Amino acid sequence: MAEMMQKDSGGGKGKPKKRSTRIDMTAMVDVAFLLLTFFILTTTMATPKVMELNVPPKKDPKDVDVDVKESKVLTVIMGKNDRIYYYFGITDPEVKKTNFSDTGIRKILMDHIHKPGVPNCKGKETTGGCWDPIVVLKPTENSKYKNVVDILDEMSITQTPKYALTKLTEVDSTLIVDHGFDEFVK
Amino acid sequence: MPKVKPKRHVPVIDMTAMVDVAFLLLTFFILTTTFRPDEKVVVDTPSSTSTTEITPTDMMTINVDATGRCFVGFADIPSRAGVLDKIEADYGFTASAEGRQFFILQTSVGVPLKEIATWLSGTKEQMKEYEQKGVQYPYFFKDPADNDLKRWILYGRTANVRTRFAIKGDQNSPYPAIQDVISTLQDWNINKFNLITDLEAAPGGEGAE
Repeated sequence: MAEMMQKDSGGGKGKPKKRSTRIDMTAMVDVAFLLLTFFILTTTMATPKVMELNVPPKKDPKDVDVDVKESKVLTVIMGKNDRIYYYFGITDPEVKKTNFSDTGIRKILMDHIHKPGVPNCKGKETTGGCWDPIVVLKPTENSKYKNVVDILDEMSITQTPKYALTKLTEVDSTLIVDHGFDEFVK
Repeated sequence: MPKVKPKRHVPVIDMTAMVDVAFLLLTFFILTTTFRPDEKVVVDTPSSTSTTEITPTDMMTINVDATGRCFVGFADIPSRAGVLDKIEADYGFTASAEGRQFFILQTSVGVPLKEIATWLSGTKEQMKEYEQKGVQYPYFFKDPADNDLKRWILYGRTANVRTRFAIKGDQNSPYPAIQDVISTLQDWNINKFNLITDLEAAPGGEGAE
């Protein structure tokens, strides 16, 4: 601003007056930075992330059920209020309750999937010799979408090779009730 | 003798370089910024450790909000135009030029298919204010015979064969709603789709691959 106030001394006749070529940029800079700040603050750099989900085709009557060894199966049920119920096998299992924390379901999954000393089949079809666990995920009518995404996330975190997302059966709900959990109490 | 006055310096800073940089950045941010489109439905996606990025082209997004209302959105404008052609053919109406223009600019739609004709016949203000009840699908409307979502998926695929599908559910969407969306996709034998999530830091240790 200061330079604008320079007076042209002399004036009138004589030498042509020498004008300063300086431009006061202050106002322009102010506006430029204001806009810059606005655009920096409003811009969103993050693009949404996706989780790919492959589901088996709807059941064809011609499909044959594959029998799996009971000990391989871990069933995880997502209940209300972010609860998790889980049990091993099918015959007269003991249903236990856990949660979505690091020491909860993740530990149970890690223990089930990675047996010390036994190589993991990593989902490949092999003839015995390696441990080939299966996790069955069953959301209930009380589960939130978040619970399902979280448990699918746990699958990738614990590197579970084989898992299935299926519906809760009558047997499962009876099991939960029989073990004294108030999951289905309205 | 008069005293020698110290010469007064006018503090002048050369701002040219700073202005150059400021304008360069400003240009960059103006050009890269895209304003969030006016979403009809509020969806707060859950977070996951998945880092796969989405390529939004050819994407049909099925939005499910916390109450289970469903809105469908098509990523690109040619698809939207194609979808509208199919709806017009199936429901026997022709949208006005204004209605068509309005439909093409929608990022997501939650009007039952039967009401599309009425919706697009109004003025711009009326179309904007139209109450969007959500796309009809089994969870929200409990009428399995009237599964609009199933038709929308068909329209999406026929309007653009490369259409892929993404489910954008709210954290608190009831799972049965998502289950119905998945089941509808499976009815068309679409067994591979994406779940849109936010990024969350991966836990350390064995989780990282």
